[in-house]
Formats: sequence, structure tokens, C-alpha cells
Amino acid sequence: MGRPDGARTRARRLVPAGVAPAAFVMAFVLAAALVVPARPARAQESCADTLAAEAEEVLRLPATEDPDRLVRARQLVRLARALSGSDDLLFRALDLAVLAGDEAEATVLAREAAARIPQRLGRDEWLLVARDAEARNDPRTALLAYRRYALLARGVPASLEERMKRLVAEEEARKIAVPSFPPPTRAARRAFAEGKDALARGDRDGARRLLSHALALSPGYSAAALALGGLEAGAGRAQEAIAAYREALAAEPDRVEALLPLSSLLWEEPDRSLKEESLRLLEHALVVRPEPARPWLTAAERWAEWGDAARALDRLDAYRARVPARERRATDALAQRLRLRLSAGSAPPAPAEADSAPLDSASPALPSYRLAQVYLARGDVASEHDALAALSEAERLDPGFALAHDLSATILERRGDRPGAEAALRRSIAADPSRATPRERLARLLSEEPGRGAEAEAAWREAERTGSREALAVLARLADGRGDDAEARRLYARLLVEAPDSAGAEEAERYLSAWRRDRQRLAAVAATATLAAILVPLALVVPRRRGTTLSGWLGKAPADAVAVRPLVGRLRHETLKHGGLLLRDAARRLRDGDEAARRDAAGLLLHRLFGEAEGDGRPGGGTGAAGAPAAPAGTGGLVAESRRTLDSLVASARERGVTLNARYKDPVLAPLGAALRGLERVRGPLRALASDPERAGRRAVDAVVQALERAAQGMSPAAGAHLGRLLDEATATPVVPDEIARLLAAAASERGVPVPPFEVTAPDGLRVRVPRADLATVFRNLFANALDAARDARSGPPRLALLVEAARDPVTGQAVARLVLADDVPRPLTSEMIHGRAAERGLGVVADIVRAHEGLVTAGPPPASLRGMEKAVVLELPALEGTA
Amino acid sequence: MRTVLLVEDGTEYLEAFERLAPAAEAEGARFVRAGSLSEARALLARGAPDAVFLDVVFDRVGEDALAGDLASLIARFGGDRRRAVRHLAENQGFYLLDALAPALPPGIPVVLAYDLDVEPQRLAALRSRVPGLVGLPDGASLSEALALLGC
Repeated sequence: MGRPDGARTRARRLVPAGVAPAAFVMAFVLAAALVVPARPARAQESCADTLAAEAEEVLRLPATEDPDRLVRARQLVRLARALSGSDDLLFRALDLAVLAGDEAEATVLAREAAARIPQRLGRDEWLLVARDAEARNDPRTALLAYRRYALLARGVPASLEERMKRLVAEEEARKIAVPSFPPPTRAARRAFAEGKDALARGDRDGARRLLSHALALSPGYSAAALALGGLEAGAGRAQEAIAAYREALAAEPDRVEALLPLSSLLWEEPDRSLKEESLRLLEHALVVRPEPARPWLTAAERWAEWGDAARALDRLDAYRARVPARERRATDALAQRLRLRLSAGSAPPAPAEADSAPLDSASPALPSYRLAQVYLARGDVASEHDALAALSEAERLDPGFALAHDLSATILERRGDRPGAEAALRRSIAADPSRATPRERLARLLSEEPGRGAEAEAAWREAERTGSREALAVLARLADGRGDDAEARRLYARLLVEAPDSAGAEEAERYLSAWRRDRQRLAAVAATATLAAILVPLALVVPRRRGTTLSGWLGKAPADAVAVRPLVGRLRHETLKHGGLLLRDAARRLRDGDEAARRDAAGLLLHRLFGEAEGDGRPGGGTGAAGAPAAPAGTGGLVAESRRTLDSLVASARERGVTLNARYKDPVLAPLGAALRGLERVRGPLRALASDPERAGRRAVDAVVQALERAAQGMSPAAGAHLGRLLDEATATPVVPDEIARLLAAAASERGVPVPPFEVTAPDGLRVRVPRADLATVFRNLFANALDAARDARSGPPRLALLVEAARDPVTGQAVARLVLADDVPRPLTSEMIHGRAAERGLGVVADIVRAHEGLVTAGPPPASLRGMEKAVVLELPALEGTA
Repeated sequence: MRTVLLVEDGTEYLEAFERLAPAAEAEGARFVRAGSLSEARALLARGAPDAVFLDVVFDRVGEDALAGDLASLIARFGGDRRRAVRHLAENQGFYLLDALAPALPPGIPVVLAYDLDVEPQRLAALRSRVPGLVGLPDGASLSEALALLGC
């Protein structure tokens, strides 16, 4: 270890000959204290030098003359350090602490020296720093210090090498995010069970309330989040479904039943970053559960749409390897198109990896669990052994930390130790009985063992009780296998309701459709001729008469227009606009064109209507600034998209307890549906025309032309306008000053205060596109807020004013009603208080309603025309044409 | 030959016009496609078109490619970025119209793929900036669309 000889010499020179050192120091300190205000830094430095020199003098005394010389010298150096931040003094203090065997102070000083003067630290000091960092659970600094120690010691002892390896693993482990939520409370589990019962009864509002309550009681309750996600997705409330599935994944990142539907929902969002996230989730699902074929095809289609042909082809190959030849052939065109694209250009950048932000956890098992993950990621047998040891430690520290048991089960299963894996899964279930994942894994494990079928089924039943959708599908299959059709139907129907986007939903749909077909066949066979004579007319009439039309539905429940509007918008844009432009002219081209024109038109129709790839040799696109992009891949075409939108409309009605008869009764939707069915029927003839028009013959041409013309009639120009008018009429509410004043009077009466003065300025006949009940709720809440604020401010009876103006959006030209509600209560109100997380409940309701109807709400100072007012809430609501 | 500038996020309109329109009308027109505002501006800088066709919904492009002031929209929507992006994507045709209006030759036909027949006052308000603007009725055929474009 080096010595600060220079400092020592300099310190000695500062002590005048013949002056007693201690007396000199005291005088100097006194003088320095007097001088400090004038020249503080310089005086303090001199004083520190003097104290340091005195310390050196003390140290030079023989031990027999002063047994406490080391103690005194360290005290003097401490005083000097209080006056000066010199590196030399720091180093000398460290030196003396080591000499005195004071490990505690030496450690503190070594830590400081390592940060400031690392080049001057010796081997032993680095060892101190390393041990200190280890004790503080700072593996990164500890590693660095051990490496410096090893460098100076020219080698590492074997014991230290092991320690450094573990530190490397610990450092990696710190970066691993581990979700950790406590098991759900009993109340949360009860709310979840009741929510599921409500769902089974078809009481969606009740189910939503109960499942949300379960989540509020126990955040991260994955089964409840999953059920809520399915419910919201089925109701077309994408944002709510996304939030629920995210919560499920936060608790169980490998839950395929959340990964797949969340991926699908995010893919539908316009934001590119959400599409990136969608792809990441889908890829993760493929890693977690690679066996089912369908997700591979979905991945292929999405990567193709994303523009990464290489990845798309890879996923498509994986799909094709998992399905029979017939289904393989259905993807030949996509495979060919991807290969062509691959040979033509480069792929866009792949989505970035998700950040792995570590989460906090109260469990003492967490560090060992993370360490096990690091070992496991290394993949070799020795590391696997270390991982099991770390997990054993984690289980010892916190037997209730279920994730450690899960990971143990994974490793043991991989090593072929099935009894060990089973035991680990049973421990996991005991640690947190609310989680479906370990129960599903246990059930799968048991299913694979001969002679344990009954146990497996019991395990699946337990999994189902904790919210497993996979269990629903498996139990339904088992029921079907033993001929219990009623049970199979009940389970499959539940699966469709609770998890419409799950992998098993397709299977459920198939089963139920087949069952319906069988039932119909049986009914037909059993019916006598007489009965048939009665039933046939009934069968024709009843479907046409039952249920209601879109107009009837919205007439009774105008608030449902919020759910209907985006679907109608999609029908107008995608079906009526694009269909109109395509069908009549394509029919004419097929009828009047030559063979080449027919082939081309048929190819284009197949592509646009059914999403099929076009063959080679079609004419190129137009000249664009940057070249025209390919038509969207994997969308399924206009017909499928439109059918989906129509189905969503019917499902949305059903969720609200309404039977929308879109097939027979609705004057706009029924012709539209018939048009789409007609188009589906000519897919075959179109294929024939696209490949060889001459061979297809004139009859095929005529059939296709007729179908196209009929479909064009179904998508008549009047249909779009009719739908738009219908929505407007259902939601149109006139802004009537007297009605609004009555709401204020009611709010005042509820609070037992006099009705405040209220001035309203509004043009006649202005109608907003917000249902009457919602508009009333908005005003009720705003008035309540103003009256409560006046009460809290004790400012006397408030005065309110409402100014209503007709306006237009400056860019879209859409009619807007601007409603400015001002009051003179001296309490601040900002937009943040309306939109922020901490928004008062009533204002939050206002913000939600206004947002749902595509309006805006802000707060701020009142306009100049409203004199004497303190603040104003401004509502901008879509208005009806002709009133703005 | 009339030059028609098509602005759309896919190629559906371009393909329909080029491959299905009646020969007499289509042969008298040359279609140039832009996928975004910047591409449209680049094409306008090369030469003035005789007519413009604007798609409205642009839900297949990233938010960076959307015309319109996203930051001020986010502020207007109380910090709701997702809603602001959705609004821009669903009304992109209007934002393109607004941004391109100063660069369009006066009086040329501009067809917006949005049915404005039931909103005459809205159309009048938009025409104060772009006098040649017409809306494309729902269910209109290609021939009707070409007629609106003056082809």
C-alpha cells in the first residue's frame, strides 16, 4: 500500500520549529475560525494540513512514550478531514483504520476511496470493498471489486471463483421481472364465483360488476381478470378487455388464454406500437404452448401483414407441419405469396423486445427464484442442478411462493422426474389454490400417465373451478367421449361465452354447430307429413317475425348507439363504400370483357372479396410516389370482414338482452346479409374464371354476374344513409334550457339548498348526438359538483350560467354543440381534475360519458361574456346536421 | 389525358379504377397514388393533377404517417393518445384535405370517400376551403366516382 509521503512532508513543514504542536494547532484552529468568513477555503485547507502534520508527528513518537498515539493520530486526521476533502487525507485515514484493525471504519473509507481514487487502492482494500458490497446486496459493485482484487493478487483462489460466479448469476437475476401478487382473498374468490354464475345466467352487467369487484379486492387475481377480459371482448369493449387481459398477464405472464386474445385485440388497434406488442405476445404464446396449430397460422398472417415475409413463412411452415393435407392446401397460396415476397425484398425491423422492469415483491424467496431462472436460462445440466438448489432455497424461505414450485415442476418434468414434478405442482396448488395454471399442468401430467384418467379428470374439474378455459374444453371433450351430450353442450356453450377468442372456441363452435345440425336432422326425420305441413310455414315465418330491427333496438335503448356506431361505421366504409365501387363494374367487366379482362376481374374479386392471393401475370398497379403497397394480407376479404361486423352487431345486441333479427327482419341489414351470402356462393365459379375463363364457360360468367348485380342491389346507396340517420335519430337530444334548469333544481333539492340563480343562453333547435339520459347524467353531476364546491367553500349561494353555441370542427367540418357551464364559486377546477386518475367520482362519470359519445370536456376560466363567474366547464358534443 | 391523384392507405381504389372502370373513362385518365400526406405533396410538387380522390379511413399506416397535429389533438382529448390516434386514422381524409387545400389548383374536382349527401351544411363548410369538393355517396359505382372526378 502506498503512503502519502508528499503530504506528510508538506504537513511537517507547516509546523514552526520550537512551537508545541498541540498549542500550535489550537491557535491555528482559532485563527482559522476567525479568518474563515473572509477566505474560507484556503484557511480550512491550511488548518487541515496542520492537523495532518500533527498526526504524523504523533505517530513518530515511540510507543513507550505514548501508548495511545495511534488513537490520537486518527482523531487528528478525522479533524483534518472535516476541514478538507483531500484525497491524501482520505487515503491516510483508511491507512490508519487498517493499521488500527478498525474494520468498520476501514470499510466505509475504502468504499469512498473506491469511488474517488480507485487507482490508489491496494489488494486488501479491494477485498474490503467487495465484502462490503456483498453485504449491502450490491452484486455489481462486489464483482467489480473482486475483479480488481484478482488483478492485484495475480490470481483468484478457488473459493473466490465460486463466489464470483454466483455474483454474476445474482446480478443477472436482479434484472428478471417476477410478478408476485398475494393469493386472492376469500371475499375476492366469492365475488369471482358469483361473477361466473352471473355469466352463466347471461347477466353480463352483474358479471362485470362482480368480476371487477373481485379484481379490486385482489389485484392480479388472474382468473377474475381473464373472465372479465372474455366478457368485455365479447361485448366489443376492446379497451376494457385489453386492460383486463393485461392484469391477468401481470399475474401470470405465461397464461396462453390471456396472451392470445390480448394479442388479437392489440392487433386491431391502429397504433403501430400496439401491433408490435401484439406480435410479441403471440410469439410468447407459441413458445409457451407450441402444440395447437391455429396460433401458428395467425402468427404467419400477422407477420405477413407486418411485412416480415421470412418470419411469416417460418410460422406458416410450423402450422403446415401440424395440420392434415387438406388444410395445408388451403394455405398454399399464402405460402407462395410469401416466398415471392421473400425473394423480392427485405423485412422491416422486428418489434423490439419488451422491457423487463423488475417488480417489487415482499416474498423473501424472490432473489433465489430469480437466481434459479438465470441458471435455467443457461441450459446445461450443471446449471439445471444449481437452479433446483436455488428453488429449494426459495421454497424453504417462503413455502407460499407458488412460482418457485411451478419452476421446480418445469425442471423436474424436463428431466423426466414425473413424480417430482407432480409433487412440486401439488405444493404450488397448496401455496395458492386460486391459480388455474398449476392445476392445468397437473391435469395434463396426470392425463399422460396410464391408469390415472380419473385423477386427471378430477384435476381438470378443480382447474375449471379456478377459471381454466382449457379445462372447460377438456371436460367437454371427455363428456362427449362418454356420450354425455348435455354436459358437453353446456361446457362448450360456456366456453364460447367466457372465452370467445380462446383456442378452444373454434372447437366449441364446431361441436355446437354439428349438434344443431344433428338436432335439425332428427327433427326433420321425426316429423310427419302433417306436422311438416304445419311446421314448414312456421319455420319460414317465425325467424322472419321474431326479434327486432336495428331501429327498434335503438328506439328502446338509445344509449346502445355507443356500441353500434363503430360497427355501423365499419359497414358503411368497408362494405357499402368498397363493395359499391367493386361489384357493378366488376359485373360489367365480366359480362362484356374479353378473356383476359375476365380473368383479371375474377382474380381481383377473389382477392378483394375473399382475401385470396392473385396469380402471376396480373396487370401492375399505378405509379405512386413510393410505390403502392400490396393489398392487406390475411384479412379474409370484404365478405368475411362484413360478415364478422354483422355478427358482432347481432352479438352486441344479444349481450344487451336484445334479439336483433338482422337476417330476415331488418330492412337494411337483411339485404346486406343476403348479398354477402350470395357472394360466398360464387367463390367457386370465380376461381374457375380466374384460372381459365374459357373452360369455365358462359354459364359460370352469367352466374357470377347475376350474383354480383344482386349483391350490388343489397348494398344500395340508400343503405348507408339510412343507417347513419337511424343512429342520429336514436341519439338526438334537443338542448332545452327548461329541462336543464329542472336538473339543477333537483340537485339543489337533494342537498337541501335553495335553487341557485341560473341563466341560460341557447339557440333554438340545437340537438346533440348524446342520448337524453346520458346528457341528464352529465348535467346532474356538473350541478352536484358546483353545489358541493359552494358548500365546501362556504361562499354563500352560487350563481350559475350556461352558454350554448353551435360550432363546427375546423378540420372535419362536423357539427358541434359547445356548452359552457360557468359558476362563481371560488374553488379551482382544471381539466386535470376531470380527466386525471384522481378525478372526483361525479366528474369522472362526466368525462366517461362525454368520451363515449366522441365529445370533449375541459375546464378553465369562463369566457368574458359570462361576467362575474369564476370558472367554467366546456362540453363539446357532436351535434346534428342542420342544427349547427 | 386527365391526371387523378389518389391518396389512400392501401391500393384498393387504385386497383378498382385501373382494372375495373369502363375503358372509355379509364383510358382518359392516368392515376397516381400517394400513401400519405408527404407522398401527396411530393406528387403535387411534380405537377398539378386534374382531380383528386381522397380515402378517409387510414387504419393501416403508422401514426407517424398520419396528417394532422397529433400533439395538439392529444391535448384536446385530455391526454388520451390512443383516442387522438384513432381520431386521426378514422378522419384522415379530412385532415389530408385540410393540409393539401392550399396546394390544390383552384376549382379542380376533389372527391372525398365519405357520404356528405345527408350533411349539406358540413359540405358547404368544407367547400369554403376547397370549392371543388364532393362527397362519394355510399354504394356509388366506379363510373359514378369517375364522373365526379370529371373523367
